[in-house]
Amino acid sequence: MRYLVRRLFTLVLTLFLVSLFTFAAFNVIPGDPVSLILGTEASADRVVVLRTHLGLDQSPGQRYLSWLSLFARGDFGTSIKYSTPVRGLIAGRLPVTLFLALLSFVLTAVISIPLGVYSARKRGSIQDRAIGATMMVFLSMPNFFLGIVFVWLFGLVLKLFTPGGYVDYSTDFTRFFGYIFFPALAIALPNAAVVVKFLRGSAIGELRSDYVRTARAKGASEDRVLYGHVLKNAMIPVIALFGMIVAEIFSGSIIIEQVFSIPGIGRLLISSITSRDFPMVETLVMYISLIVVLANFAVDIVIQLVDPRIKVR
Amino acid sequence: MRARLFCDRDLRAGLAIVAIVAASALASLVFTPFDPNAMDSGHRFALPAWPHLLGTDNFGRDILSRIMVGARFSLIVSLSTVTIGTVFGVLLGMPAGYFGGVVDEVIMRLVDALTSFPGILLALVAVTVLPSGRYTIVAALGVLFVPSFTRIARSGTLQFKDSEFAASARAFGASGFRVMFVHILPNICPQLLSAIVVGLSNAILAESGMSYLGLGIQPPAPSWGRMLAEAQAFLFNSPWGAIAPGLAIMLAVLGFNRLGEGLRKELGL
Repeated sequence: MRYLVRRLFTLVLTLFLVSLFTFAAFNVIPGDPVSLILGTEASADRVVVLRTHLGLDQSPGQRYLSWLSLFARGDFGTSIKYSTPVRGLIAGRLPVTLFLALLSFVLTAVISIPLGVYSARKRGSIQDRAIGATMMVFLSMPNFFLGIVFVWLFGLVLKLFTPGGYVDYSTDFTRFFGYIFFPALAIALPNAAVVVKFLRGSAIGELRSDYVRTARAKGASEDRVLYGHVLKNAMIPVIALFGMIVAEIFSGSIIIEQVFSIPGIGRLLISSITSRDFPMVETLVMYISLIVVLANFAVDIVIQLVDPRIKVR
Repeated sequence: MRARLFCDRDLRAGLAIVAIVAASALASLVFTPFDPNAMDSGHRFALPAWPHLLGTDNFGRDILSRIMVGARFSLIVSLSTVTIGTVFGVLLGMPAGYFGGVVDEVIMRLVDALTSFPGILLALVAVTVLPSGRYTIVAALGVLFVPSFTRIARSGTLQFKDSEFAASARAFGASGFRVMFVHILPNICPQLLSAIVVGLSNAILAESGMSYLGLGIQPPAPSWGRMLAEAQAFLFNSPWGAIAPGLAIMLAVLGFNRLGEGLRKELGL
């Protein structure tokens, strides 16, 4: 309970700092928007009128507070590029990215956990080294290159999906899934490689402990020892890694959505950056970091539930 | 010492690959097989063969020459990026570890908040709001590396701040900053060095990602990421155009990664 309170406190603090960073980045660093809009030759009274209109006559503190309260109320402003409220544009694309991220996360876990345990069990064997070498390849491969290889291999050569032929989830979920599976795999594999490496190390460490010898002495099968005893303990440091992987998956989807032309928030973000659509970029940055911060929070709570021995940071 | 240095397989492999990448980057200053930007409509989408050893792209430009020049820009950007990360990381992390208390809390909470943004998002924000210039990308990616170096500098400082040499320096009246930067910093150099080398592999990945998105070093300078982005449109007819720069990125990343791993083992970290 004390852990939860303290963790909630750091959550609020992090959210506050994230919003402060975002506000500062978009409202302080780029300089005075008035001279951008009116040019340097504008008359003094026009400058004053526009400054008041934009709320720039207020102190930065006041501007931050009004910015934050608008954001909290869901009024994210109007996109410069599309001239429509930012909110609607994001709402249509958010589910696509969330689904892509969720699928990537599931794939990461499903691929990495059995491989990591298997590698630890067969440590030093040819299979173990083959897995290690493959994971090394995925670790040094940029995810967009992996994506391009998938587009070529699964899309153009094997024709398992049509590159660029994205089908929306509301139209036909099966075809949506068939399309989104490959980008999700491209996001998942490099992350899975990290987990395999970690889990293998942590499982090998656990295999040396006394409870493993006891379990074997009782006559437990090797599978029972590995999945019943070792995995539970070996997973503890790995779960902490999954918090970081959530952030990595969102980073990955920003780029992978470009590779596969998926209309999610990552693609919207890049096109908004290219057209310097500040309100849109600002809102998306807040959104994505909110999701990541909350996901990290959830992971920390899960760790605490799994292993109460872990002390408050 | 030298014999032992080259015993480690990771170190050997890493050094060899990094040497190849660095050599081709340096060579590109004086020699490339072709002009990397010269177009040749008669030889578009050529497969690897003499005289175009790595083939040509959609404009008939020589891919090998472009990869060599790309290596130079990739290394320049990565080195400057990691330098920024190291300098700011040391300047933030050492006082945090040395003084502890409020200084530590403030610096580390700020760094934590910075880490809450997914890596590439931070670079994207920086690219958006910083005044655009040829090397904006360096500053944008540099921000990405500050948190990890801050943590390393902090934990290294914590390890040495109560050591005898630090205590005796204080006894001689050395100021906190003198103890940190003159006495403790040389001792945490091994940790920093292996983090710098591994950081270089991450920087190459990040740089190629940004230039794939069209937000990296601006044309006409060839960059590996943009070569991939351009080749993607012609993937059906000429997959080779994408594979060559992709492999170049992988090789460079793998090299620095192995080298960093080897160094870590060698330095006993």
